[in-house]
Amino acid sequence: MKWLAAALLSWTAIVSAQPYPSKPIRFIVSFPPGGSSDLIARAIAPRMSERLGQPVVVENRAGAGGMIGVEAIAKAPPDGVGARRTPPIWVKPGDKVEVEIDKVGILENTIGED
Amino acid sequence: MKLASFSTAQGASYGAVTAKGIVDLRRRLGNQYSDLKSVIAGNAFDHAKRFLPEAPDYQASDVTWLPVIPNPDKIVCVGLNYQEHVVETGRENTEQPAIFLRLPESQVGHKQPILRPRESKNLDYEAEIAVIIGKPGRRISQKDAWSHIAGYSCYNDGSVRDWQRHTIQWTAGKNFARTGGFGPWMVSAEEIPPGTKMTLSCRLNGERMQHATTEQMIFKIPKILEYVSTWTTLVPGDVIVTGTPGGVGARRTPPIWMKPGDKVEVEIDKVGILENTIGED
Repeated sequence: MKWLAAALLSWTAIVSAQPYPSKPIRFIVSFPPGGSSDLIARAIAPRMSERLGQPVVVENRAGAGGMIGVEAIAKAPPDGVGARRTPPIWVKPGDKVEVEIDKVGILENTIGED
Repeated sequence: MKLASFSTAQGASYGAVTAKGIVDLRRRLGNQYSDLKSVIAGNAFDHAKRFLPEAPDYQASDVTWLPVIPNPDKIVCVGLNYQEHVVETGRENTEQPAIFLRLPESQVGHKQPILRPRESKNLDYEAEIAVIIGKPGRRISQKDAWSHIAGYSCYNDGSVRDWQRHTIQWTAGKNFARTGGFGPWMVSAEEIPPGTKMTLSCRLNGERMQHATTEQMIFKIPKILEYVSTWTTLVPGDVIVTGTPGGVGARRTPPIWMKPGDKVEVEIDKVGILENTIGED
């Protein structure tokens, strides 16, 4: 429930800087309807809508362990009206991780198992 | 057996502290073992013991004491491991031990001055029991933990409180050079069987400031070794500093800070007394 309070608070802060948001908000859930993520999102949405004065539409974009939802957000237009509830991303054995600094180079590691 | 690191006019050495004086072991074992850490790594306590009956080379007053292990691979400290200290700091208990690290340069030997840095006046004492690792290991179970311990010593986890608190973690305040007293010697684990109750005290200018026993530890020694070795390999000579009881200077009203000229002592009944004066950096 801490998470819920934090989400509402941060939105409240945004509301005070009117006139944002100026259009309906897409609330992307990276899991199917009926799961805990979905239920929480649907519990929050009406309250968000009430405070923000804009409809908040919950969209389920399930699949690929949450990655479909993440991708939907990544590809959404940067109009400031997306919200999401998505799990953290953990690297796993077999993944490749690159850290790039333009003036330095690329550090590349794969993830192994201990 | 009591083992110590020290220096003389001939340079850094290590030896056994006996009732008659100090037997220089580097002089006798130096070809094989250059320092106390390598004696531990070589599992050579029995070898060292053969020299205990020999005439001592020095008296305590002849040597400059060094931190028991001057060059550990790591110094792993447990925060908030006694209930009274958790309460006085206004914090809550955690499910797992709170760990931070000290660097070797932050240590200082018995009878050497602990240095109050010029950047702060908030220098505090913390009496603690130090565990010195013998047998290396990763993912050590609580059941096996005792067999990985080479010995015990006194530690004064000297802390610069304002530098400990001005960010969200403690590293800076726990690592000023020569703020952590470590000594006078280590008592080998064979003399302190697993689970022995030890009593820990801190005195500042002769007045008792902290007093507790190992039975009051929230996370007992086997649990600490199990937790730490889950993520890092413990190697011979590693120092595990197991937390301080209530009564630190910072939490008194008004606070008590150690200042140049003060004398601070950490006593563990089964080990001895670590004594330091406070100097200025």
